[in-house]
Amino acid sequence: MTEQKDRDLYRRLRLIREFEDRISALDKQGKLMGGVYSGKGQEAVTVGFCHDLRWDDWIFPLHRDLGAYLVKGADPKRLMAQIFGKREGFAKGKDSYLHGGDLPNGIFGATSMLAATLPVAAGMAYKFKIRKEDRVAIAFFGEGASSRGDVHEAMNFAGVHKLPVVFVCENNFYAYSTPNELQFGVDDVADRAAGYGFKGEVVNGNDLHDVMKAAGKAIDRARKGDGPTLVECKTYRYHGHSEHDRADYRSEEELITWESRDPIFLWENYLEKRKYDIDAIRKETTGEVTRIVEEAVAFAEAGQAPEGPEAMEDLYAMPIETEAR
Amino acid sequence: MLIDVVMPQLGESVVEGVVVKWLVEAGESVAKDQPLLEISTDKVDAEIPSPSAGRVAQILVKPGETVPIRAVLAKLDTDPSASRPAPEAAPKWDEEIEGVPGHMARTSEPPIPAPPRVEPSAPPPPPPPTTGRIRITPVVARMAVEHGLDLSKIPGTGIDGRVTRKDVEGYLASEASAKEAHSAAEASEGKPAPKAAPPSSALSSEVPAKKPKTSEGKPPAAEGDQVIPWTPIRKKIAEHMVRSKQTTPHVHIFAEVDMHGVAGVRAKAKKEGVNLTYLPFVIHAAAKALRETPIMNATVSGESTVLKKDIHIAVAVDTSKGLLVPVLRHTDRMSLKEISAAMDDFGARAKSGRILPDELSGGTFSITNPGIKGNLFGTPIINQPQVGILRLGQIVKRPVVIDVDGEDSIVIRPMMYLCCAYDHRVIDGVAGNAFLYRVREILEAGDFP
Amino acid sequence: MLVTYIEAIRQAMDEELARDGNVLLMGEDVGVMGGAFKASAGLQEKHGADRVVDMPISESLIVGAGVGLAVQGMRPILEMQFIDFISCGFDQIVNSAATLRYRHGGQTACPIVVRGPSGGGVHGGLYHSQNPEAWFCHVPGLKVVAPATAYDAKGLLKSAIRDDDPVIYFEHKFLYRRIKEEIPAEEYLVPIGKAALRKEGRDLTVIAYGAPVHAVMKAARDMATEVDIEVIDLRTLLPIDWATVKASVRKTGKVLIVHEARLTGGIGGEVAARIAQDCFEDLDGPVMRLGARDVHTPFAPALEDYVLPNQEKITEAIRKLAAY
Repeated sequence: MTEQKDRDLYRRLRLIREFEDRISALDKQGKLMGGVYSGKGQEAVTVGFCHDLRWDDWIFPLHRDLGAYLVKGADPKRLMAQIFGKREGFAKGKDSYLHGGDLPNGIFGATSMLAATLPVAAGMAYKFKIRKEDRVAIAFFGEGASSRGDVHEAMNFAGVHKLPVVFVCENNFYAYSTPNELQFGVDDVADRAAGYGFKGEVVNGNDLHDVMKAAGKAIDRARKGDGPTLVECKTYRYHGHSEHDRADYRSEEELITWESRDPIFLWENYLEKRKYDIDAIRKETTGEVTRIVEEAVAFAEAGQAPEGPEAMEDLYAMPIETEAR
Repeated sequence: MLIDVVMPQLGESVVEGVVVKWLVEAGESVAKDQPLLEISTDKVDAEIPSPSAGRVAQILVKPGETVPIRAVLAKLDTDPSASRPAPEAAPKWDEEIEGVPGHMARTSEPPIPAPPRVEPSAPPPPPPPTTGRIRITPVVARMAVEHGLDLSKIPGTGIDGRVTRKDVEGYLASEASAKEAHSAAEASEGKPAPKAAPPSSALSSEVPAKKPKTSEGKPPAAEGDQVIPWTPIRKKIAEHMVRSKQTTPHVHIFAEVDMHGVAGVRAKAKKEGVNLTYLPFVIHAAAKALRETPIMNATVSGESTVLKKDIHIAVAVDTSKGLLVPVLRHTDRMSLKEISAAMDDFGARAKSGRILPDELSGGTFSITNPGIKGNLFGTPIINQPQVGILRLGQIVKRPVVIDVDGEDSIVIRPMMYLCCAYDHRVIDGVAGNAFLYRVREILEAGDFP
Repeated sequence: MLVTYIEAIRQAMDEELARDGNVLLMGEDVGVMGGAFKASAGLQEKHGADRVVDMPISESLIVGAGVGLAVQGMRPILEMQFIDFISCGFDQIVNSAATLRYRHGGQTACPIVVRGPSGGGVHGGLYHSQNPEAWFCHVPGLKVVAPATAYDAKGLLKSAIRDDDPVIYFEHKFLYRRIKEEIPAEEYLVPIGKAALRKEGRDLTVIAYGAPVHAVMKAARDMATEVDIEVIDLRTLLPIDWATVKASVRKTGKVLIVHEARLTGGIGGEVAARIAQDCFEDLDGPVMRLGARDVHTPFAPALEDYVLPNQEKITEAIRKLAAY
């Protein structure tokens, strides 16, 4: 990899981290409403899978994949406005957080019904296949969501038709409070791929090199028409399920163990070993990501709050008369 | 500037939080995002980061106190020197980097256009004002019947002057105190209590204040207006038309017919000294098509369709006495010339009024022709109890595109719109369309014996 | 005993788990964590992990497994972490649980309770604000309840657990910690199928359930000098207590039905139709309804406020009906 790309990957990791930290702080400062689901600690997964995608590929992030938005090309300003529920956000205030996708950039918004995006991704990949488009769909989901029937239905169909889709399971070991052992009986979610007739792989989701290697292979396979792949990334969220979750269900020791394998820390280590000027890079990147996030916050705070009657817009292609007078 | 530090809402159901302890003191300078205090709610414990850099001006809530969400916990004096950093050059972020296609997303053309913003529809106009009626509610209607009340005597206090239950109750109470006087008044006026407004009427029942005028009696006419009472034949036509429109769902379909072939036959006949109009051709073609589409040659009887064995086409003829519709018996057995002769005969006899009643009944299908002063096309009314009717449009020479030796060519042709109405109770599109298509086919073939 | 609405729910489950060994609680994060809203705090410690079960994120499984347990004579309480997720268990509720007794010709009962937090007004957005009770009122075989007070929350949940039919129990998350109420220390039940007459009045009747009951009661107090309002809290939505409804309509002649759920296809339509049919000659005005506008419950405060009924809209509707 070139130094330029190495440094760019670093900037991406740092931008996501800065963005997530800022949102958590804004929430505690009472400036946000609604849930905030920090993906802090999981940045390498979204960077690894989205960085080398084409503009016309599609991603299906779940609630903790804010990073995927930032890497796939969403405007940080609009993303922040989305979180503030402003008119400038993707959903124009109708819903917050990652429920409003940025479709022109190939980013599909999720519902709260976990993994409900997977069948949608499969359907989209089916279109890519029958129209002979060499595009791919990347569907992210947590190991918690893997317990839902939608996951089975989507993977089964993708296996039947060898669809150009990559299923990315972010296993952060807890579905809210519920640990892996109360969620599934297999060792790895990736083991399930065999049941659908495609390859499953487990990678260290905190190591960007590992993630990028697996992502590259899986995306290449999909693009060439060789079918889906399930990549399970073992990773960890530092925060609770949401900002109002104490996360009492896990130990301090466990958290510290994972913090010592932090994806940004690992990547800085790599940059240093490559004999790049890590201090200069760190300084420059800090200034850059801070500015981008501050500008995004300023943009969102100055954004327009939607007005009541706008609630009725965007419901149908042409408005229908729903309120008899 | 003084800004507020507030108790955040950490969780949808959370309504209050406890200040556990302050990590700063009043007067202390703090950095942005520096933890100011610890809070605890039903769901979470958290450190609250400072919303801005500045100096803690005032601490308003003591440790151990419970306050609702959004309550102000402290005041912060923001330091003007700690404002946002001045904007620098645009970040390198957006620059395209060779070999990294992920960056292309924002500068490339979006794969999906943004959905248009659709304006909500305008509110409907307000309902028309209602005057001259007493507006009442069902309970008032019932009370009026029970107590034999004349509602026009009770002032309504509801919206639009509605007589409400309370109005009736008030009236009854005042009546009770002056019962005799009330009875006398009612007797002298001799007005019966309105039995109108049965409970089965609409939700906001409307009782006419006066008896409505019926349509009987003299029609209103100003000086100089001429009143023409309907003749028996007019009445019959009127009654028949109304009945037809009421009982039959009419479907009207149109065909554009090239009458070039027919014109050729006419020209040939003319040379032989025979004058043929276009009408007999259409009658002849219709008779032939009816034989092939029996459902069109039918009548309705109650809830049954009677497919008629014989084809008797009725042809509308305009006479000085009004519209007459004589019937050509066994039309399908008649030659073109016989049809033409029969029509001429009807025309002549209609003028002298010597068409027999029998000749006007028993039709199984109708054809109407507006004649020389015709028009492009019209939508005829079915002659009950038949199920179909054809109407001829004016024949007009028009440039049309036809296939000449495999080439598209523009030629001048006498064209005619033919309208067919059919009874959708009996006939579906397939049969109706097939019939009209067949009529056109026969006419365009120009092959008449 | 002064308790919040959510504490009343917790107590009901605690008491029933203690009273009857066949009662269990199953749901996402209900055990170790005590529930996303802490409705089951401490219950796993007290009653054991076998009976207060942390389930995978699998609503269809949670309901379906509940049906299997029920056939074996158990009485599972099945928690949807947010009631919005009930759609993920919809098939098991309407096709499996609701038909269980019927399709077996009465050979078995289906004593399950599906409960969870519903309702908006908390800026929860599209998937944390829903009021889907009407979907279930269209399904024969189910019972549907929606308590508005801590007293009812406890008494109705205990009744639901003891009921031999599947009961869908809608909690309103807006009320969880916003209302605190004195309830009896001794055991009590609130019967399913019985409405509560919250306030007597003679000018008009307002029928409500769930969180709007509180706004309606406030309106009745605030407007006391203008109009004498009778307030009925339905409490049970299937079956509806028609006797109480009709008696009130016959008395006042004017009715407004208020619910937070969307207007079209909502409970208010069913209530209005029944009143129009059975009490037509008693009506002194059109049967009126107030519900959410026919759109999803949006996130931004101004949008949400525009969509959902609130104090102001309730007052306006009452005034309009009173003047009719």
